Amino acid sequence: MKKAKISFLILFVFLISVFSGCFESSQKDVGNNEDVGDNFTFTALDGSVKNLKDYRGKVVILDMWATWCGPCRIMLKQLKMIYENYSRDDLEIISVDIDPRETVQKIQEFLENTSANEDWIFGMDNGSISEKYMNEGAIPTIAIFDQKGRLHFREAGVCGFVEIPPGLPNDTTLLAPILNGLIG
Amino acid sequence: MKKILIAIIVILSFFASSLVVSAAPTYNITLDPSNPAPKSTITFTATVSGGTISKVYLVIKECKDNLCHIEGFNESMDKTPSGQYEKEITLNYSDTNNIEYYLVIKSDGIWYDFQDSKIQKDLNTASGNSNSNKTPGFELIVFVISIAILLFITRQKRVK
Repeated sequence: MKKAKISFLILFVFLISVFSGCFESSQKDVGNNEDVGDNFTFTALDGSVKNLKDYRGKVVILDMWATWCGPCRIMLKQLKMIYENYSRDDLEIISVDIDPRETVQKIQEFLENTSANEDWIFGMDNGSISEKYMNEGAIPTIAIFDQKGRLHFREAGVCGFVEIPPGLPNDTTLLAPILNGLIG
Repeated sequence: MKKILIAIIVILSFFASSLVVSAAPTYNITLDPSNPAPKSTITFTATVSGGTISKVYLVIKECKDNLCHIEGFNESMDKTPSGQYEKEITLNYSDTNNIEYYLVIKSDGIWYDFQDSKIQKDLNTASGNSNSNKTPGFELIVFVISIAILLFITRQKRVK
């Protein structure tokens, strides 16, 4: 009888440890699949509402700008070089106009008048992007998200791609090392 | 025949008057002081012509070489007895080196936005010691004190 009790207890402890292990591992699995990345929404120039989540698996450069901003034009030229240098499977650029006074028509006119032929994703901020990522209240502000949508880099002011654009300070950040580190 | 001619002239003049299109207003802005510094107070005076002007707004953005502050000014300008429009603005930021400004004018009931012909003005960043951590004159004080000590020591030696 005593032996039976002991063996029953051992079996009981064994079963509990096995089940708790399973439970833990199943929890871990849920955690691994969980989307830990950031998200924001913006209105594309065609009127559709898009999310950062739509671009999971790619590095995303979020460019906060406005048509009246002179330094933003320098940034657009750097972004064009970046856009041409990386595959669309690896990187996307989203340029979001954060000035609520500006319109889709204004952006389209701006893009038609510039000879740079920027053909990446352009859109309008719905108010949430500038609030979340534009801490300094200045444009251009650049944010880089990794493939999982996690904010990896954020800076106000013009950044260069591989070289510092003429006329800018020597401590201007270059994006090539950051992007190469993420894309590999 | 004469009556027909008069009638034609009257009709033509009537149509011509209806064809008059209200032209976009034009403006000229002066700044006082003409060479302002960051965070300084500037008086903007605008002379606006063309149509019946009912409202004039002054839009200003403060920038430096590599960024622009999004928080700018969008202020209604006050009409002066002389017919000009005036506004006193105190710039917000110390880290800027230029401002961009333009007018938005309501003339004959139509709004005209002159953002595309905005004016850029470099700020006077050289004035004052605001950008310098050095203390001009301090070296001179040290020099004078050291000379005084030297004179005192040599005098003491001579006395001995």
